[in-house]
Amino acid sequence: MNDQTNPGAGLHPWLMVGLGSPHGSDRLGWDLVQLLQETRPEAWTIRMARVPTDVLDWLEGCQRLHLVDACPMFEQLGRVHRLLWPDAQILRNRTTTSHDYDVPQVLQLAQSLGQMPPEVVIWAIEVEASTRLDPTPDWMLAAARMITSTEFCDKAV
Amino acid sequence: MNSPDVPSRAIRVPILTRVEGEGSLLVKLREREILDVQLAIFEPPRLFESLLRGRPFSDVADITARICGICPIAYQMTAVQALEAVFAVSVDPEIRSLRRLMYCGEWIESHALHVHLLQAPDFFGLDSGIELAERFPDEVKRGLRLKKIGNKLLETLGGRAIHPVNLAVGGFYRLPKVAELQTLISDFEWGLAAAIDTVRWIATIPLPSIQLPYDYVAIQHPDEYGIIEGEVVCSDGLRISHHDYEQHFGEIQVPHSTALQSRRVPTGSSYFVGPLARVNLNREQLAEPARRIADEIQFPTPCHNAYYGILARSIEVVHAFAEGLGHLRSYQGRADARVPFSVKNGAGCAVTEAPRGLIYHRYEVDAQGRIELAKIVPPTSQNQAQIEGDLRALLPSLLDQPDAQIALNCERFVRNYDPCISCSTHFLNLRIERE
Repeated sequence: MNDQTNPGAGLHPWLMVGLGSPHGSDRLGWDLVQLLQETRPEAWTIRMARVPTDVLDWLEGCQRLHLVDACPMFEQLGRVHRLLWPDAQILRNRTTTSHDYDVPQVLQLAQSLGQMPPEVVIWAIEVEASTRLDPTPDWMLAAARMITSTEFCDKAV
Repeated sequence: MNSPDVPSRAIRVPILTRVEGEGSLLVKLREREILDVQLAIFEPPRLFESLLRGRPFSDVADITARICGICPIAYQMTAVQALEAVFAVSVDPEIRSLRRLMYCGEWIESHALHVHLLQAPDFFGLDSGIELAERFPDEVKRGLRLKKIGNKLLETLGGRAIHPVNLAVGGFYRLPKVAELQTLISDFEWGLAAAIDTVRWIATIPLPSIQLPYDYVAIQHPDEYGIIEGEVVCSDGLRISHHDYEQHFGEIQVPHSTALQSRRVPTGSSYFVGPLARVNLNREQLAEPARRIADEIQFPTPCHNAYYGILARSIEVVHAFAEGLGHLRSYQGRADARVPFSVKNGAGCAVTEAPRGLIYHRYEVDAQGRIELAKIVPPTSQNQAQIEGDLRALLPSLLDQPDAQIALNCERFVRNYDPCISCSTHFLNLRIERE
């Protein structure tokens, strides 16, 4: 097969992806990365994904992959978890998803295909399905500040 | 007839996996008698039709796009075209070509995902695409790259990857630059060849044998493979204008599901929409490379084996790349982005072919352009009754198996339909009850 595509086009070496949907507080991942857009150093690309398998489209050339997603609240609204893949907690606490493949499965698939970036971080923010995100709550701004101070200042710039 | 004293058994698939949305399956048995089969959809109704009432017509495409993250274009396109029928808008041929191109992108990304990650593992006895990727890394990588090209096209034409915003009543909000589409041509050339190789690979998979009397329904157009408009045709010979859709197809509520089920009127019988229906009814109108590969693999027509849906879907990926390539090469960017029109009161409907099958929208609009009534019939609502009927037909051949194996085989069968439960209410859990 004659491959005439440009394999280098659209590479995202440092990629932060917000996962979400327009329904209820599931849009948290989207909203958070939009907040991060403003403080993002140039080296970072920020994208939003409808389903975790979307991430597979962007792994070519990716060195650092950070996923931002809502997780069910079990301790405190807005509590932020920074999980470094492979994290046993992610695999142990998998939840039912209406997505075809959930985040751990997509990452396992990437591993099987040899496409796993060297650094994969999952930012999981505790939230309830009915939590209102509009106007932007203080805990969400705090979560954005935590991601910014951890990723965009200490290491990324 | 078995005695009611004989205990019955129930087999449950509490959560159907590798489908879009959340649902479950319940099979009730007494010895070898199948008492009931219920595809239960328990996601709450999303009430989109009510949500649209009172909104300006210009909001409809953006709101209906949110019904589904996988096939937003199908909802947008059908909505926009139904509203264009209200306002008597006729779009420029170049706009029409771009709309077909956009739909090709959605078919590519949706079909490539389903073929490679959702359904193919079933035929190798594998649990997931992860295991498939370990066994067939090159094929899975190829499939993911096909999907990526579909998404790239949608992002180019739709303005963004998430819930595209570019489709408008009368055309598009912004037309792509010629150079933007030309950069996709090499991707589509690669994609066409890769999609043909995918069909050849899928054709080597031994598919289970089953023959069921299907009533296929799809749209048909005299000049092209039916995608964005045409008459509604059925394999039993019915041929109707889309304006008469509701006279021949009606939705009913069943107690076990939050999604409405669509049936033929007046018989109340089930019917089958989607790629297998389309290839059966419109094979001669497939793009030449798709027709040629269908002939090469000796795809049977008529085909009454639902497992062949994976092949039909793969053939349609070839079609979408071949047709898309034509649109990309011919685009000159000469049309105005939108046709001017006057808002007026009235009613209009449209049918298009979503990746999973026929979709119907009807709107009534007041003189200010506000939505007074919206009716949306997604493909999975139309296939639900057929899925239940198919499982009734399939189950006698499975009854000697342990319940867990029956559940697994039922779940695999349901995936033939690529159901998007999120769309229809809107996952599947299987439960088998043996009395």
